[in-house]
Amino acid sequence: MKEEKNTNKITRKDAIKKMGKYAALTAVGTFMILNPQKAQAQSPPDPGGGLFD
Amino acid sequence: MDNLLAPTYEYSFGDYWVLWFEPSNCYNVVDHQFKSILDYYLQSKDLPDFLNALSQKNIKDLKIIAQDLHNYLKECNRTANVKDFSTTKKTNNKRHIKTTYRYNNQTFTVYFDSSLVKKVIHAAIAHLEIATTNSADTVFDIYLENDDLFLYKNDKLLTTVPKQAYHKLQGKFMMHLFCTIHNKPENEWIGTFHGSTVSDGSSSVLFIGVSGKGKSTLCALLATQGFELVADDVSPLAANDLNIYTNPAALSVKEGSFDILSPLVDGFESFETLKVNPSKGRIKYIPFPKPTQNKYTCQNIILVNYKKNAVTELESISVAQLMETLIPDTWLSPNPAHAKSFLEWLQNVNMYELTYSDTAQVTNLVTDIFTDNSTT
Repeated sequence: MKEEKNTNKITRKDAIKKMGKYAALTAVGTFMILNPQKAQAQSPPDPGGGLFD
Repeated sequence: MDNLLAPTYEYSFGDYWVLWFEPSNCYNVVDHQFKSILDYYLQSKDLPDFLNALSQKNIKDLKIIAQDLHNYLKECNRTANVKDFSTTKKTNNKRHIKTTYRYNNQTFTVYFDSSLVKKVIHAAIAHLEIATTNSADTVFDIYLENDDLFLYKNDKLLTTVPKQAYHKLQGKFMMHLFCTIHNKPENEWIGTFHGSTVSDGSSSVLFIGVSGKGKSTLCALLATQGFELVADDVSPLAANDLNIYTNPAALSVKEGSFDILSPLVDGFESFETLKVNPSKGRIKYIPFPKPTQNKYTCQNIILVNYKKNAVTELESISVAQLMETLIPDTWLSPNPAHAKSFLEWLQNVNMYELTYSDTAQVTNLVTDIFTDNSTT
């Protein structure tokens, strides 16, 4: 049950991307490509709520 | 096939594998089934060999799967671009405001070109400001030019970002603040996690979660209940000792948390409040006391999930659930030795999701985590 929940979460997250690009692969296993930030950052301001908006 | 595109590192985490690719510095979480197909692909001499190896497995569309695997590996090996700022010239007439700060016996001066630009970083470190006319060893310049913000350290450009992306300049400034106050160059850090860290004085717990899920509020609560605030929002992990080091910035909380924290935090009203934008809420910066140590080991990462009226509970989660939140918001060094250290460190970390609404219950629960930690 737990495994199924986890799998669903991953699939949902990248569903559009994966279904389009790797439709056959998603049928045989679960995978998630995660890119870290390329530079350090703090939490972004809320949309429209920044210092320079 | 495609052996040159194989993952640089592969680590097993229970039901999952985590793969790391050096050219792109990207992390992949895959299940055993996917890993097994990928291994067949990489070990096969050619396409017929791959098709033959998997023909007994009753998998349809093997040729398309092979093509997908090739595309997937190409994507994971796409080289990350690194910006080169070396030709950018510093503008020298922008030093209109001078402010000097001190932490860990390290003094640093920041020059700003305007009070608006000063707001980008000052509010979070206002409590570190000192009155002095002496020169500091480390000097930062932050100014705005043609809608871009520039950050220099000792006359060397660290970054330039469009002014609306000022959170990236804040992050770079904090990174170099860590370097200054902890006396470590940038290449000796494994990463800066988007998360807040608290300690019981001997070890620490890292709280992560998407914005608005209550991690800063929770850490503020814990800091009023005897725990030490090690870092808010950005928690740096060092390569040499795999410790999380202190982030001296004040803890920032949004207006939605003021009612909860006001009765618990001494002098709450007196702390600096920033009205970032009239149409949006206010932010308050709470400087908590400096922790007893500059660094702590961390054996627990907790995904925070504040839900009104929810039962407070702690559940173990998979590496997939953890990394889905942790990685995209985190800066991680592309150095292979650092990636290896990070993954090996992660293998020894307990991963949980904490759902909470009740402040007393959540404090007890976190206390239990620290107690378990000290007895194992």
